[in-house]
Amino acid sequence: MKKSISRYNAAAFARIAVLCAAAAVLSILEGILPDLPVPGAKLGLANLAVMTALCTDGLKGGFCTAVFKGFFALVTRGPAAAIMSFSGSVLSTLAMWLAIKYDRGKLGFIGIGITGAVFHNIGQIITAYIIIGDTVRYYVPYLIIAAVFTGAVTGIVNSIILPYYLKINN
Amino acid sequence: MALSDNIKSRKRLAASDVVLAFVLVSVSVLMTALQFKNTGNTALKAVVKKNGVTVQSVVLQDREPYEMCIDEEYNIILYIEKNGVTIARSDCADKICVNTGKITKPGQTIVCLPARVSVELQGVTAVNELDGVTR
Repeated sequence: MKKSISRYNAAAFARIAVLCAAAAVLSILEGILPDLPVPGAKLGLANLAVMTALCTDGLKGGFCTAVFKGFFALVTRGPAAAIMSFSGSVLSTLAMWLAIKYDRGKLGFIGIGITGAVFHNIGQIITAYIIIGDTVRYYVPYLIIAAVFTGAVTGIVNSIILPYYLKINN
Repeated sequence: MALSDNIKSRKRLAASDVVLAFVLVSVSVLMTALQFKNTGNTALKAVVKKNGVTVQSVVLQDREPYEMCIDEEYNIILYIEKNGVTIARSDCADKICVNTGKITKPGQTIVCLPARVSVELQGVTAVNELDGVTR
């Protein structure tokens, strides 16, 4: 753990930059997949990058990637999608951080992924509720089931790639 | 690096993950079952909302399908059939409302986020629509 502050910052900067790029690519990939019934809502595959950033660089890293993802959505898909992306990923980052910190090691990577995906969709539903009204409540169960699957997928991928990212650390 | 130590020691799939997934799926299935419970022999009504406020309400009748403009701003056309409604066109960018397709059951919704418009199907008793909103 002996390293200068500037070197640590450079490593963290590089890691988060790579993960932001990954988030952008995953967002595009997600755009190719069929739309969810709630407009602007996305499955949250790009959440994988946020999750990995959270695991390597803590809350700060997670939020940096989440904000970048929101900005990317603003540029590529417009303001409505950006608000949805932003609310989803910020709530999801907070939820995953709390889960990692306070679950006493009980959850596996899949459980963390599911937590993140469910709160990603809950964040989007809350935003859609504010914009559109209570008609969106019918989609809650579908989005939760979808989140269990995407969360498991992102959790598995995260558990595979994370060791490599943690190696870059030192 | 307390956080990364906490992460390194984790398994890919822990027992609590399975419990979490099971609970979430059960709750969702239960919610869906409750939503579609009261859908007996009722007629359908399409309720159009803008910014969460009801602006129009159309009872689906046994007649020829027809089109109706439900939003001037985005020129949203609702196609009304006796057993369901479709958003036929909209000037919004993402076209999610159009791609949602036809909805036929009470509780189903088509939403257009850019226009802040939603169309929800509700059940009404066929005899008297005013007294019989069952949702």
